[in-house]
Amino acid sequence: MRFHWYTGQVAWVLHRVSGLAIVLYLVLHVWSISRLSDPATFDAEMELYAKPLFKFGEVAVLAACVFHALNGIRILLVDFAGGARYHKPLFYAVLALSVVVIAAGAYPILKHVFGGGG
Amino acid sequence: MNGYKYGGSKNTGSVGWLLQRITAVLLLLLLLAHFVVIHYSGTGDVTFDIVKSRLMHPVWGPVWRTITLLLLATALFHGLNGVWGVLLDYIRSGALRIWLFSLIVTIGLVLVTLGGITILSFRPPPDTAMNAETEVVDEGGGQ
Repeated sequence: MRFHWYTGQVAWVLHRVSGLAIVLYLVLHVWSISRLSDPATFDAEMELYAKPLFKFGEVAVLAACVFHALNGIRILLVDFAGGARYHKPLFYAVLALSVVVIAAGAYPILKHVFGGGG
Repeated sequence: MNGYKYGGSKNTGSVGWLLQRITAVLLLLLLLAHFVVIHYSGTGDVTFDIVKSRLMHPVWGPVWRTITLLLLATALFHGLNGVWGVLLDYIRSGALRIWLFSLIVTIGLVLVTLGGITILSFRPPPDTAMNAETEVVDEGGGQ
């Protein structure tokens, strides 16, 4: 017997992994933004986040959020709108739309990294 | 019967399942607003002064604080309820489930408090450049 990946399985794993990654980010984010209590500390931290490494991290967070949100809409359609009958094409639509939205969202973030002046 | 649930609990998880979907719909709207307003308007830079101008705005300040508080609570619930769902898939021990559930609730309460304080107690310190300047001008006008 050979192991075989099914579309729904792939969607389930990606949804779970992206969700857990976003929760981890959310915890760090709430804690990090609490620096707003002191302007100098806050701006110093934001300057750190402007470094390329963090900009790529931001793109990763964006990618996880976009995929999780779009596949979440797919789950809602499957659960409440009879989407089970066409969940496979829906997943391909989620993937295609994710690529487009992530690329469009990543552009202004990475423009600063490669633009030099930013 | 109900061997898969701790102590034969009557909780089938359907309330958590439905709340996960309700918060998902709310998050689609709230998170989109969060991204557009904070990261995809203007230069996209985040500085203390930019945050200040948003939160201290006479009209939109309270609206933005309310939206952000709603986002904080909704995101934490959806995220931690999701983690709880994942844990239920892999943790069989009832005692460990109770311990982890307490841990998740604690993390949620700590973060909603920390985030809530950050949003609600935000006010620029009196010694920022803009306020200092205003004070000097006011003193000059009074003399």
